[in-house]
Amino acid sequence: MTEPILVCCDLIKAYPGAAGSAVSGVNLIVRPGEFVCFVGPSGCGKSTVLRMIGGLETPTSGQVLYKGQPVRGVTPGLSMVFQSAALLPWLSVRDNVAFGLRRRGLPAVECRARADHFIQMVGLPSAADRTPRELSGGMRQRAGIARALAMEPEILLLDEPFSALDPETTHELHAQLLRIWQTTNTTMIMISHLIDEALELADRIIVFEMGRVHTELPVALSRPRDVDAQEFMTLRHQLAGLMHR
Amino acid sequence: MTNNLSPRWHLPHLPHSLPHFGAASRRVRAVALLVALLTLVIVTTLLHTRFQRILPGPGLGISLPELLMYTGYTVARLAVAYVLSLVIALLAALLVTTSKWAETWLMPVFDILQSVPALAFFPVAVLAFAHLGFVEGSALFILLTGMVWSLLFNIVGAIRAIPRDVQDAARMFGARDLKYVRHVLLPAIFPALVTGSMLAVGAGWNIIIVAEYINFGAQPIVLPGLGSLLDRAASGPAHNTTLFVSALISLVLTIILFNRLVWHRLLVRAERYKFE
Repeated sequence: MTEPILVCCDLIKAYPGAAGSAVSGVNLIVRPGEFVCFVGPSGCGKSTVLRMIGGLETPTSGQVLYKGQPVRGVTPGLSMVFQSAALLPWLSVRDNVAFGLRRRGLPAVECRARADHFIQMVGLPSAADRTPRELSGGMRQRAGIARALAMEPEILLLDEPFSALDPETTHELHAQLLRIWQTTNTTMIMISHLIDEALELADRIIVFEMGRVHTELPVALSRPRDVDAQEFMTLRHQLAGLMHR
Repeated sequence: MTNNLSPRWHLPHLPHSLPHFGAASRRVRAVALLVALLTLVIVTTLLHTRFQRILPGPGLGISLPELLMYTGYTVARLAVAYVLSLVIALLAALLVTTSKWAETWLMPVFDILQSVPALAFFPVAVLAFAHLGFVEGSALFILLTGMVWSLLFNIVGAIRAIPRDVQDAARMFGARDLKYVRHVLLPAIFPALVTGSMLAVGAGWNIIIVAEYINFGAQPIVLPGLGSLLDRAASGPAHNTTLFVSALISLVLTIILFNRLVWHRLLVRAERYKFE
């Protein structure tokens, strides 16, 4: 068994003034190169856990270990894709993708070249000079993915990246994401609220409920996965049962 | 122009084609502006001639270069006050949005202060600055108290309106503290800065007309500018209708020019910075 790249130890997150904890003791590991999906009803804590992994929130107790080291705030090696793409409206796609690189101090010319490489990788070469306002939702999300990838992360965190998109675009982006995953071998941790999406993409699905890990469901089917195959339907049934109790 | 869409819509032959969006309203707006201007000049002149006290006094002729100079003084005062207001408003806004303490204790204070009319500070300010021998300061102080609020509240609103996702993304990609202010916050508040500035400068015009001619003790303190010119032309021993109207036209033209050349352009530029 390979050494896990990420370990969550007894993660607890309680907000002052709120009754109970958002996250009440989460333990999980993620292995390098894995595609993991967090699923669960809204309010189950999956988003909070992802944010703690990314360093955007500090746990009330417990810790996140990335390659053995505790995560304290935003850490190089961990990058994130947001539900709304969260691009800066006054910057072009290229400048948005290069944003993280520029803040690191790389010279502008090199940042642009690197940005172009990742814009190509997500399939957006024609839109590099456009502003987010001129893009469709799917294109914006591609840009958001490019921006996260430009940091050359080892773990890519995705917070319901496709929930605001239509089914056709989502399907395209699934394929794109899987291609990127297979070529770059980046570890993926994605939150999804759709059973089918999790089953199509993940190696392992972690089901959250009420601030804890409820179950883990390994998905050993080969990709691309056939939604109509018997094994897929069995897993879907199983997962639906776990989620809707 | 003939109606060339009639085949599809089966409209009878009509002299005009469907005008494009906004065409009529542009003409209407231009005419409305002209009418408003003329009305303003006529009404104020009529009121002025109707109600002026009949006092002897030498007519005060004024040349165009002199008028432009006075206008320049007034604009300069406004500009200095604006820059100071902007700096103070930005710093106060940053303070209030980053510190819980400041938000709890300072915002209510600002709320109350903004409702106090700027001119209420007039006597105190004049006393203080006259004492210091810095008379221009009184005008600046009063302008500040009138201008800073529209800037402050607009900026605070815009800072709070930055979407949470964008704030998170900024942190994720290395823009924290000063980098965040420079690369995310300042561009994000640009539209609010423009609207806040328009309001502030508008308030400034109102205030400056009064702030330039101060009746303090025996000798009135007169700061050279459009405001004092209007004041002197409207009343007092040297009142003069021609002067009044010229000064008024100069004022209105300056405001309109500023509107067209500065505000309009900035508003167009600011569109790019808006979050949807």
